[in-house]
Amino acid sequence: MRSWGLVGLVLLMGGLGWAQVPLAPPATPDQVLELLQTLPAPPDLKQSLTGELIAAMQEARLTPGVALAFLKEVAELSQADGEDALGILNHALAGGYILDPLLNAALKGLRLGRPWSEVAGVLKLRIRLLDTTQQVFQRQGVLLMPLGEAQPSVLRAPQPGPLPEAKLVLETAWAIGDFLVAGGSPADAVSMAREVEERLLRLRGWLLPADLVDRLLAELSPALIQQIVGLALSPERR
Amino acid sequence: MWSSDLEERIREVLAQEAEAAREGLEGLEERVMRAIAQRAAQPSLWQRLKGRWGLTFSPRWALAGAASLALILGFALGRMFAPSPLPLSAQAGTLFAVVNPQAHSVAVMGDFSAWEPIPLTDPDGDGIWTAVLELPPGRYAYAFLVDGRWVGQDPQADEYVRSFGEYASVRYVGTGGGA
Repeated sequence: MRSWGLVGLVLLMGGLGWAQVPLAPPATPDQVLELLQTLPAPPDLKQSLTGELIAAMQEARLTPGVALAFLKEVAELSQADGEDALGILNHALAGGYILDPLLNAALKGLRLGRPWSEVAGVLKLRIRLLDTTQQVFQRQGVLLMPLGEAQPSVLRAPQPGPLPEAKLVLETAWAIGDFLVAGGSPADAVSMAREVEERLLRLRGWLLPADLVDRLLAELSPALIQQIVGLALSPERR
Repeated sequence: MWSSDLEERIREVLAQEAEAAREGLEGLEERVMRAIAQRAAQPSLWQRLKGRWGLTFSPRWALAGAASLALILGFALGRMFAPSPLPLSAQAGTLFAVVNPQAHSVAVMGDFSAWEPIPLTDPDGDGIWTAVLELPPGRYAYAFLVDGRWVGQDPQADEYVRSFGEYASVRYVGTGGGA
């Protein structure tokens, strides 16, 4: 009877415990840079990427694990597609953006077995939206300087990780991009403005500083979204 | 955090335990009284102790004691043979769960793993596959792979997004009111 009780107790304790799964050990920046050197790409592109990758990883705009996973996928592409992928990465890095969501979007598409041309199309749209969101925000005074430069009059204690302004640009561009990538009409600025507002309100006060969100929400309108999307989809940006 | 499936499972297990305890109590009073009457003919250990030490003995206490014993026994047996109930409080971390008794393998992948699959486990074979991941606060897109098939819409998600023709779930982890 005692042994039955013991068995029961063990089963009970087993049932009460969740499986705690550790994430994979984090990759290091050195691993990323080493893999980059092995990829077939023009030396000047690799040189530019090396500097940009170091800066992005130091500024926590890019997680080494995500960068490493992306470069491993690039290594599996044809040389032409691989160079295209590295060129897209280089452009995004130079913009001072937070890169993890962009590379994760590429990884999702590749895990789904989509051809590189389709993945590249989504990435280019996302980057154009990041570019034009930043541009329109600056014009409207939501951003005081480009993301690559310091935001002088933002009175906030320095925080670890990417600039809050970079997060604001990212989340706004991403909400618009989610709508478009899912097949939403670029003319439906009202729906896009609502998506952006919901996303920002959800992140307000914990992932995004409340004052920054409030500053944008005061300016947010379908007309503002239409400016961003119109610029992103203009023929000269394609 | 809890799906209706999980809650339903908890309710089922609790109902089974209550049923097991009730079965143990049926006809209990009769059985106890019969046993007492049979044992009254010969002095029991208890009677010998009572006579020797002058202890008082009340049938009401005997009934209460036997009922308690039957309850404890019924509860223990129910626990032993019924499927283990799920815990009512999640440990630290974000729980990912899939209820699929037919599945042979389940994994979750998303922004937190560079879209590399992380296996879910079902150690007791009850069809509830789980994994708890330690995630920093943030917004995470993810999907499940059930026997290699993409399952993008998790009932526990805060929202869904669609790209490349497939849905992905999104959780807000941290202080944003998400999971």
